[in-house]
Amino acid sequence: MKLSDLLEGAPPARYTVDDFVTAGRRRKRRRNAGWAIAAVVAVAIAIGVPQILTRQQTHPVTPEPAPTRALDRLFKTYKVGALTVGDPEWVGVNNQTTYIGRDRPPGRPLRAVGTLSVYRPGFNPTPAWDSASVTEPIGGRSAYFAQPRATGYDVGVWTPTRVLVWQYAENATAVVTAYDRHLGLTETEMRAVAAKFALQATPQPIRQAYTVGHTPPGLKLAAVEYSMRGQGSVVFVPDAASAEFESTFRDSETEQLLANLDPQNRRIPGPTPVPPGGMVIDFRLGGSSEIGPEPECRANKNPGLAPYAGPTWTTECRVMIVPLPDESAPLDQDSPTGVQLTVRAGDSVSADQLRQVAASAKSTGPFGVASSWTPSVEAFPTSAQLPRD
Amino acid sequence: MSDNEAEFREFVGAQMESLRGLAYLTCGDWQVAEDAVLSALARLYVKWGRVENHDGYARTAVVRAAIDETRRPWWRREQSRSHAMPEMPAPDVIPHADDRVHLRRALLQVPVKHRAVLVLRFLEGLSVPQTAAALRCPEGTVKAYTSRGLETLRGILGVDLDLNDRTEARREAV
Repeated sequence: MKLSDLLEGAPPARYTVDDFVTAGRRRKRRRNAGWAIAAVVAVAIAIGVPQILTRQQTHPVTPEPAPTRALDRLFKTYKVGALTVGDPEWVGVNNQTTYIGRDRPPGRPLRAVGTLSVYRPGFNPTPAWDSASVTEPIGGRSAYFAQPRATGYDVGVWTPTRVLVWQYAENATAVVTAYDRHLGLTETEMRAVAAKFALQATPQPIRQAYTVGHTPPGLKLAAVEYSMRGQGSVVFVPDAASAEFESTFRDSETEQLLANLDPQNRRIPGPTPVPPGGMVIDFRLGGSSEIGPEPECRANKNPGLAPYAGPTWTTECRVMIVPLPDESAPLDQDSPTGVQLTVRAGDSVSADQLRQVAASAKSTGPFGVASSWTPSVEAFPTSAQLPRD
Repeated sequence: MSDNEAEFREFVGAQMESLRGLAYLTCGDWQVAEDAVLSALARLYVKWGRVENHDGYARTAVVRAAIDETRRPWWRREQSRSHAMPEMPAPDVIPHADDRVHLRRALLQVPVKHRAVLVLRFLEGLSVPQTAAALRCPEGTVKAYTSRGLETLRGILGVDLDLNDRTEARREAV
């Protein structure tokens, strides 16, 4: 008996020579398609993997910075351990600022312990610090700590104690400032705040609930205050000053909060200071029996109360504008009866000019529907806009 | 039609039955064996121009494909209804038919790798080095599998096997 004997009586073959050729052709086609797919995958891997591997794992991806002159929020609030970095509170043509708060027991508000200022690419902030000491790079870019210079006037708990300066993108600077030593913000925490900073992929415009049809000649829109609560100020500066303008304002409500938190801070936050030669428009909720739809102008009654740098405005004009009705709101919901606009300036802007500004103000949408408001760059005359980047 | 394809057709026409038998004795099912041959020769078609020894490549590919078929998990196996071993031995009027059934059953009880070695050596008549090359394993392994495979067959069949005649015949032909 041989093994070949076992093959006797084999059934007829199911496949012909043509079937084998067809199967071979099919396999060849699949193989070629497989190579094509493999080539595409290989190219994708060759391009993508090095980018992933070289990415700084400890630092968020930083997209190309968008122009700040569009007055869009470049970043948004984020947490770093017990610290919270807020949304930009003031957005200027050259920089954006916000608070850094520390967690407190549940139900109690954050304690502000510092600020973050982010400058647009190519803008070099005026150093307000000395004794720089280089520290480890952040996100692969240079960084240093420094000692703030004394301001010469009492700013309460807003006395800076330490700054961290670093490059968050190519030729783009950001600064973390720690305030008042007893509130505390360690160098490690400052680095952590910087390391986690990231630009928004799609910057969001800051909108205004009103428009102004007239601004004094030569003044440019320099900074807008962002507040989820809908109230805020906008700042104009002379054209010549706009290139070097740095917003150092603080959100009035954060400042109020800090004043309430800290018994050592006796200072009551005042209105946003008016820069030299500039103008400020304040937007506040609520009606008043003292003012109506016609602007009323007067001299600053308490020039000595300006909080930081002496009297900054001499004249102010106030006007009440009526917000547009919110058709979508329930009938029984209270809505503001009016919005108070105050326009302030020093002697460089005449009372007549301020009156014209106030008289040209109009409501742009229901107060409760922020999405219906007008982006800041469209809410003011074109003549007051700086050229975009 | 290209020259390669014409050569391939000629090769398949000449070797198909032989390869089919090789696969059948390795896996024990005609249908599975044919699928294994189809799969192996499709691979050969793609590499036809680059393979020098078409016989050797086809043999190796077919045996490997047949072994792979036996390793498929049960839920992926097609249930063959035709010509599958084992068959129940029964008195047969045709001389030696009973012996063939017994040998098939015994062969199926030999582990598949041992069986592949036995088939290559005693059906195809390959030498130990040729079998080792076909299965890509050391010659010592071929010898060991041959010995164990034959021992298993002897144990099952209870007789001394005479499987070497074809091998000897090939050696003499060479």
